[in-house]
Amino acid sequence: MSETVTVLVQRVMPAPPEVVFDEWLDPEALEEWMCPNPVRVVDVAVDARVGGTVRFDVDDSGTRVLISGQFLTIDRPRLLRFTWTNSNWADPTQASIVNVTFEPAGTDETLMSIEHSLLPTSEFESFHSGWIATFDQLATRLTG
Amino acid sequence: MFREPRPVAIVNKVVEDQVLDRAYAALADPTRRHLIEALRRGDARITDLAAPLPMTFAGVSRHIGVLESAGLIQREVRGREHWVSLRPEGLAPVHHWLDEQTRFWSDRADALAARLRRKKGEGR
Repeated sequence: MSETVTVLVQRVMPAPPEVVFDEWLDPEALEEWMCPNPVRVVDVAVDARVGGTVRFDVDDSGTRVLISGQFLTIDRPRLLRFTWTNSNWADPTQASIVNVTFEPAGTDETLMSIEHSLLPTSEFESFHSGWIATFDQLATRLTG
Repeated sequence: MFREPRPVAIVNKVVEDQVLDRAYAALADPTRRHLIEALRRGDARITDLAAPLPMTFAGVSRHIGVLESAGLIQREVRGREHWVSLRPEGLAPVHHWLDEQTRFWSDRADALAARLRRKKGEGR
């Protein structure tokens, strides 16, 4: 078991899991809630499939920040998992993983848990090559 | 609030991230996390730290070396013995990352909740 540096944020959302889940993959919705004031949206792009990328190009109080990642798991409406890198971090290849779960709570409410883990460099290397291998397999299957 | 010119801020950021990488890599090992936990209870000699662990003195000493170069602990010779103590300020960059990301996601979760409440109101 490897314990890692992890941030956990939980909130009860005033909508059922399907609705909350879809907010994470809808560019128009993301422009609003993922880029709250004073963050200004330059561009948001979402390719909502496993292996697809998500990209936030924003202006945060005069600093241009590019956040990007790749979807690892899209299991509507339970789980969303993607990688996360931030151009504002000195090492733009430093990856982290965001894991979001959606559990029904109360009437038409959802317990949303966001778990963000920073990957140590050593683990990232094996993760990264593992991911590329998966991607190659997928490409082979699609073309083969 | 005083703001530093960009180039200095970027240099600081690079240094800060390198410090974070080292601290984080040091903490990514269960033995080293155990050593940090043990030192929370107070300064200790390497022999004391090594005693409960299923590894050689040299092995523990190596882990101590990693924690030391990450700035998380410091070693001091007292008399003929090496004592190890925690350097809480060494953990500051890790806490800083945790605080920043916690704030980031709290803000977003609140913005999403506000948007959903508004949509619900409009739907009526």
